[in-house]
Amino acid sequence: MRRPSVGRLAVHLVLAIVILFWLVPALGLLVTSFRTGSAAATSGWWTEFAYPQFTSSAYRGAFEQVSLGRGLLNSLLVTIPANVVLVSFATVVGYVFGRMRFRGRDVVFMLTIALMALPPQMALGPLFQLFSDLGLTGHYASMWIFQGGFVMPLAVLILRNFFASIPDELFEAAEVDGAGPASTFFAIALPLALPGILSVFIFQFIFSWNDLMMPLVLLGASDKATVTIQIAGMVGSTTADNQTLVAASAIVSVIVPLVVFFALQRYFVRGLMSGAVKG
Amino acid sequence: MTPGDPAIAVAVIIGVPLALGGWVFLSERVIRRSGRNTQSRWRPWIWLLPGLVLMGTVLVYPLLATLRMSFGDRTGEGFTGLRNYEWALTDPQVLQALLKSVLWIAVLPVVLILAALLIAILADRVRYERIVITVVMIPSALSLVVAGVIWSLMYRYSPPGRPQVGLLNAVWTSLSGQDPVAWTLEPGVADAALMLIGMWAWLGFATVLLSAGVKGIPAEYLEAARLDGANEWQVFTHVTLPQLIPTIVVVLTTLVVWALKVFDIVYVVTGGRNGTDVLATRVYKEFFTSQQMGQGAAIAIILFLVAVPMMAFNIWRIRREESFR
Repeated sequence: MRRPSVGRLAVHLVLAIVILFWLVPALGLLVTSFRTGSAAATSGWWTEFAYPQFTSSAYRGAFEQVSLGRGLLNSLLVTIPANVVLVSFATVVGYVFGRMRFRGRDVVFMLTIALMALPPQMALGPLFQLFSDLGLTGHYASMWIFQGGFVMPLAVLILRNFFASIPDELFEAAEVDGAGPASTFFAIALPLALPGILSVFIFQFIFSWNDLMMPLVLLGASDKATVTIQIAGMVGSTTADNQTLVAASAIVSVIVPLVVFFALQRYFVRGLMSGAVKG
Repeated sequence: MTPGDPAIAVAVIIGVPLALGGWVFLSERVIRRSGRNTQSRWRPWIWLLPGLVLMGTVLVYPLLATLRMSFGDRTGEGFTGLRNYEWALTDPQVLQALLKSVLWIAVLPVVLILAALLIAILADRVRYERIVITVVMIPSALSLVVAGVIWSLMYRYSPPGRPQVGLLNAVWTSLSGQDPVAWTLEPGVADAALMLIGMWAWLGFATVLLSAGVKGIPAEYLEAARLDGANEWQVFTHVTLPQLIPTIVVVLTTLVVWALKVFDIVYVVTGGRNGTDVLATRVYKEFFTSQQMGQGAAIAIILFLVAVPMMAFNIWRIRREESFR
């Protein structure tokens, strides 16, 4: 069936506009990060191409003045343990919901699902007070506990669907062979669920790297600040002169998530989709 | 950072999975002595216990504690009845934040669905579809803080007559000949400007899901409709759209929750000034700037109440999916 060429052109035009609209702002950030401070204060970034004055001084400033290196380390020290905690707990809980039958299962499962949409603002006051009382504010552990637990409902849903979709025959065979519940879990279910576990880990890793509110509350603008906190702090005190510094810092902060995203896009997208639509 | 911190982090990374595995393994050995029936009754709960404790601490306890705080005084203690709620529902700033939050959840998800639908369908017909989808997905890997930084640059304002430093104003002034607009300062305009950032950040998610939905429509349905003489628009409204409704609903509810929780964008770009405050930023301000725990908790509960329909819907949706297993 032949489509009229005008319609074809319109499709390409719309998509081209979409691509531009999504890429150009990011390009602006990239270019700004390589400009001099005075250039950024007085002219738009697109003029840089006509009178190039590229410099990497903003990047040096990011690491020296803003201590972005420490921020990156903090981000890693927060996100990796937190998501290991999340995935560990969610795997066991997901397995129980997905493969065990017992009275009260559906009720507890539904309650868990209900908590999926709980706004984090609920946690602000009480958790801050709780962690203060325990002396954990300003320590990574507060974030490990918070991020490990708060997103559990979604992770549990995804992993439970994963476990539930494993063919029953595999479990029946194991039972015939005399495997106990624990061995079945470790030797059969766990290896099969690895892709799902990885998806959840990667997808949540990016979300927790990018989180602002709770890290801001629990860690603050201290020497444990994550890169996200550092950049948010810079925008607040942005004068015309440090645009390039903010830009360079922002670019550095997105390298890790972007690398993870591009390298493991399949897992990321799968994680994103299975939380929303049934796997 | 104290020198021991990376070591503790590594200990957690290795230790927590091991501890949980150990819990499962050891509990099995313990209950193995009992009869099979007893085992099946207790095992799920034993395995669930650590997870339930964690969720209870981080999800259930804060919810209940916030509720209790909302009836307290400025430290969250004591009992002041409904005074905080009275304040929240009459204070002009809180009401405005409530209005803005409603604006966000009413406008943004709908606009996003329409745009994502359009892009998903159009992209389905070109060879470079993967590129389009990847491009719109890139913002989902970025933090909303970085998105705020990116768009702050776009929205920059220079006084009229001077060369414009922000791209949007440069395009606007040269195309329309009007004065530059302070996109993030003008009340009303600022809200739209912030929502645009949300759109830029979240469209990728919506497009990916809708694109999968579009591809999931059996080709025979579309062919049959076309053979019956339907034009493209009719095919869309009578075949494509109805088939996509489940996906649209899922995307819509997720976006509504995200729009309701939005904090980073507002905090970073405008700080809530010029009427752009939403409920989430208001709660934060009450707790940490004004040190008003009771009032902050009341607003948080209001936010929660707005989220309850979403929570109920999730339960309903998952249950329905279950009955089709």
